[in-house]
Amino acid sequence: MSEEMEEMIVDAVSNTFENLAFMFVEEVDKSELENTGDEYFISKMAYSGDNTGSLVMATTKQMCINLATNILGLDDDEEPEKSILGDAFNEVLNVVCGQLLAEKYGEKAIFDLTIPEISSVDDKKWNEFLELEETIGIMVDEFPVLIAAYFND
Amino acid sequence: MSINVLVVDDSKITRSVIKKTIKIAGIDFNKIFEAENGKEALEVLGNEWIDLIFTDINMPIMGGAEMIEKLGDDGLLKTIPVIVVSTERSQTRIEQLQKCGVKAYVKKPFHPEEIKKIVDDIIGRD
Repeated sequence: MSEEMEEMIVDAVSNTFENLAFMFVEEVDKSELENTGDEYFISKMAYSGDNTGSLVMATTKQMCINLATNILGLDDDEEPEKSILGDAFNEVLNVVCGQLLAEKYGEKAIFDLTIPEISSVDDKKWNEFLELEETIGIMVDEFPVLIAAYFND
Repeated sequence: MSINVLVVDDSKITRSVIKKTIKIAGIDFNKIFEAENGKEALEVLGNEWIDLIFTDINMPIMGGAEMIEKLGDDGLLKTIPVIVVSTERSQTRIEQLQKCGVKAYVKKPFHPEEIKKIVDDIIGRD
């Protein structure tokens, strides 16, 4: 992946976390993000239309709790419902996808997006995703996030 | 006059954020109804008087574009103002939706003031 493309992806992720949840992104060396012992979630979505491709993003359960708390503006002593943790992370991926496609292909291009699908994964799957060449590692506040974009052009 | 609002989005957290935005923006509402997709929204519209609809585009079962098309086929429902709240940024798609009667298009993530201004413009208040 070119440096320019990597920068575009990190920018889209940064803007999304900052504007949606007031959380801040720092790009880090992937080796710093090896398994943290937490439970992980991985969210995937695809797009088709003027071009095709897909996005995959992973993080920890604790990150999803903080994310949902921030999006909903809950107080420190309030805990978000379990049912919306995955929903919050899917929403981030959805917004990142919209921003990235507009940035890469321009605002005239039309795409159909699939609904993001989230699943729980173990340390092994986290590390496999971490080791892929396309995967970018970032820290969002103090939480690890991995993202990969696959553009079929 | 208090209005009844329908929020259509498959994401529960997004519905919660829109509901919260409506409340903190000081919009005078009576009831806020929710639907997870266009099909559920049409069921709500068949049973309740709705004055304003917020809808996503990309949803399972029935998406926002299909729902808006169906509203346009109904003499009464087509008069309800629709605000699209979506991650999609395609200007071409926005223009298509505006031709179908959509009153406003809000890109996610949005600021509460943006929603407030749009609602005020649509329902004619300062």
